[in-house]
Amino acid sequence: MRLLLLLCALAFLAFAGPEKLDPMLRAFFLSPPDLQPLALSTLGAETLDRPIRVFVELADGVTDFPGLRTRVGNLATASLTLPEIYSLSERPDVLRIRAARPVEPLLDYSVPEVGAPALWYGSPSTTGQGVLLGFVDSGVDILHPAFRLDRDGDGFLEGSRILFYWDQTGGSGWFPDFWGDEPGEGRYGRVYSQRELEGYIRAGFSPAPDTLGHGTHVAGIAAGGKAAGFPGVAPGADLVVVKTNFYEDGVVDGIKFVFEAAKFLGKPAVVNLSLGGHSGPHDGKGLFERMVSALVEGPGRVIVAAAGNEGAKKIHVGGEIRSQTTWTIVPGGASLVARFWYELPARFSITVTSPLGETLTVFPGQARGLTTASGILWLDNTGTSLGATQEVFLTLTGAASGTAWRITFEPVLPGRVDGWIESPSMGYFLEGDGQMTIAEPGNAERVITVGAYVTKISWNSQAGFFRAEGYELYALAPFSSRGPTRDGRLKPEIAAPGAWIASARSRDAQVSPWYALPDGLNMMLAGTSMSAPHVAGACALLLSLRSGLSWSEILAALRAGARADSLVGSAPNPSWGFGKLDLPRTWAALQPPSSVQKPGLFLLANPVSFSAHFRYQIPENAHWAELRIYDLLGRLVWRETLSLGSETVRWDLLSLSGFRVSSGLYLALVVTDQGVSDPVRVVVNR
Amino acid sequence: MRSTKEKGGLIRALSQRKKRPSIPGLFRPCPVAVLLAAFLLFGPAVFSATLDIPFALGRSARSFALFGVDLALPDATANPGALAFFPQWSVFSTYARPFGVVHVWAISFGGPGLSADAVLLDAGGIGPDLHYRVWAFQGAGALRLGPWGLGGRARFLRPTDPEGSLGLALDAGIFWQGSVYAGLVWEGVYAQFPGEPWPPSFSLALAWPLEFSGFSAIFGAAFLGFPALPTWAFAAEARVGPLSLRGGLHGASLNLGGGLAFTPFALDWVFTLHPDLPLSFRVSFALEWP
Repeated sequence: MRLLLLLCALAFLAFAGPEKLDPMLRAFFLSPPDLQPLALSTLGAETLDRPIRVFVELADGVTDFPGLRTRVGNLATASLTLPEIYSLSERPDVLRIRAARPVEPLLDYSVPEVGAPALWYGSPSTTGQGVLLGFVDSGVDILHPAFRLDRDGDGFLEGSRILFYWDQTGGSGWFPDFWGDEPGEGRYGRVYSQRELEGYIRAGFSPAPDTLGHGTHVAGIAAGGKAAGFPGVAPGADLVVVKTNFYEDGVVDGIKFVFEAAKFLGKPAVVNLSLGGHSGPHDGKGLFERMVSALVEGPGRVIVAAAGNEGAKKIHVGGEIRSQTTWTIVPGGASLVARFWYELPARFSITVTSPLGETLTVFPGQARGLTTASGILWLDNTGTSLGATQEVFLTLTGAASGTAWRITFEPVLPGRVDGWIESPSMGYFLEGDGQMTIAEPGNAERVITVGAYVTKISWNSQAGFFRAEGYELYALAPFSSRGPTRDGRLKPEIAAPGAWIASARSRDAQVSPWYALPDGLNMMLAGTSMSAPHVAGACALLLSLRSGLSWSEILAALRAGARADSLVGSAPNPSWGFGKLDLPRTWAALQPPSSVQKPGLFLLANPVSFSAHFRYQIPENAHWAELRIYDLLGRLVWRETLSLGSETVRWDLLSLSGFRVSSGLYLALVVTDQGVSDPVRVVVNR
Repeated sequence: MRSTKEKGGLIRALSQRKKRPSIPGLFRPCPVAVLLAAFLLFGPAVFSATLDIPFALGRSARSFALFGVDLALPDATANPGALAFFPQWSVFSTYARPFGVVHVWAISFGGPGLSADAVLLDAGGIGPDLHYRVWAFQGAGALRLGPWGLGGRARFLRPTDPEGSLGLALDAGIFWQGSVYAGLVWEGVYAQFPGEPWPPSFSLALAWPLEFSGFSAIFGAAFLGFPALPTWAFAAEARVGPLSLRGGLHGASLNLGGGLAFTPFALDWVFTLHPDLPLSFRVSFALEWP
């Protein structure tokens, strides 16, 4: 009896460390020796001495530990071998360790659609000057004209708009002074300064090419210059680019790098994350999302994330489980990872049935593996130390694509369960839906998450006329991930154009001629990856006008200014959030109450040749309003009474006597009995 | 871009006026006939006043304060015919910020019978890669025939942004100096601008100079921009020693300004108040000789 008690005590002590690990890491320590190579492989570490990327939650007062890379509050990223992870997990001041998982990049007309020109040509006007736009993505083609400058006016774009370019994926070398000067700022890869980039531009060579083309396209949407034909939302912003390794910890490092650069330069910054994954609890409480959220601290710091492209991928199942419930997993590749989340006190016994009827049952607190004729299965139902949140972890290796694996939840104590397959490329649930498919880090509390709608469905490509099937103009893109979060918060917050979008094309990326535009400089892509940079650029414009805005103020304005038309329906809702991004309304929502009574006028395109289109806002208590156009001598050229119930007006470039006005600069403004708008400069270019 | 400056300028011009016979009867019917003929010939023209605006915005602070009425003053910028009565050589530089939306720099050089001016109007960055920038150059010459001044002017309009172009206009002006001053300007006797009509316009002004001991004044009225955009203008100026005060009404704009002269230097300024548009200001610095 005493021997039995001793063994139990030893077993408990041995388990104290692994209990702090997430099931993916724990799989290695708990699985039988024959399954350990598989567990290693799932982690991306073929050998024990190969470092693994992890998140670590620390107790208060811990300042450092071996392998630390990035530190934000009591959260950290690290690169550790499995033995190091095990020994770290035994430290009492280490609360939790979680493997960082890969994230995926989420793959003319859209910029006017969101109303960006209203701020370009408004009064005050901005194109994003004084703001850093950070892109943590596949890199940017530094040679593309959208990201270059002609400083001396000789027609050659010798300058780079990219101030810092961190290539996390390779090389080693220079880092700016602001990075690595304190613990928790990992120096890996290398950073190129603006001067170095301009040297490479002169040489016609890109040292960190964007071979995927995703980051170049995304950056072009948010910040591309007009030189490439399609100006982005904030073409006057400066860029900081992080060519990421597409691991969650690398993303965190990249965000921190952008914000450190902004601090160094004394500028506000917006980070665009057109990436995401489904490896966490989808409630913003996972270590990755908590760390991303924690980076949004103080005014002038904003993170915008793509909602995800899993709206139609059936990677999610969920429901209240009060009796035996079965879902069917259909693998799509050689290996599959699925996670199920629920809240204590619910508990479940779980049975997985292979296509040939072999079963593996795991009771609460257990983790077991099974080698079947159809594939190798590992199921961990031991729970986690994420407070009341419990995780069920399932891996399937070697399963044939298209086979059906049934997972049955038998409630010990009933409760709600939600499950996600880590990536749609791994497979889907037969009973799956598109709800709660916001990709992480889009569920993070302080991240502005963006869905996508359709603004273009056909174009002339290098291969000829192309029409994208399955899309309805101005409707929600079918792929756009839906909310809410698992804890019931509204996500996405807003929708922006995401299908199909013309933007910069990287010269180092392979592109189908159907997506490549005839100019050779641009290409078409669709995804919430494309909608997020519209909002990131919008945030940059707002910060350019008011650098002290906080993320919450910007989010409140985006919500208040969002447009809910008949396609959006009743807003807010978990598909659109508060509606479509509308920059003029968003800017109006940011005005202090004292100026709410002032009319607003926004020009939607400039210069104009045949007609000028305006949007206007009139104070609620105004009794009349007029659009007035003056020349630079203050002479009245045109006047038109405005409808108090409308929002748009057109000037056909005529004078009061009905004749065409000539080329030149004119001033437009709205005059009401409650005040006069700021003048808007209209360039008439016949 | 120049104006007469008292003592060297205006007072000298006034003293010349006293020596000239007054023949208003000869001049008064002429502009009316010309205007009627023009209306019959050209009809209501395309509103093209903006092609003339860079030149108008290049005027000195004094000329701008007396906008319109300056056609009937010995100020060569507005009326090339009046250049014949311009009393001295001078260099002017002017900076203006009309309605807070554009920058205007102007420099001019001239003297009796000759002048040359350069104006840059720059609105800076208006949007992504959108700039509005125009250069304007003009050269004028004039002959004096008794109380009459007959002048011609060549104007070159050179927009560089958002698109480069080059336009040319030839103007004629008549100035008469009698008991009152009168000026008639025919802008666009010949005018060409690529892709745009640049039709002619006629402007007429009258000014009544008064002089007392140690104090002088000018009152005037003008009818401008016929037939494209006809407007009235009224202006007045008072001078006491080196100080001057002036004001004018041009369309909806009210100009209020002043000047300070310390031979050979002169400083003038004007503020423009508009019911809808922001405040404008303009300042000029001049060096005059002999």
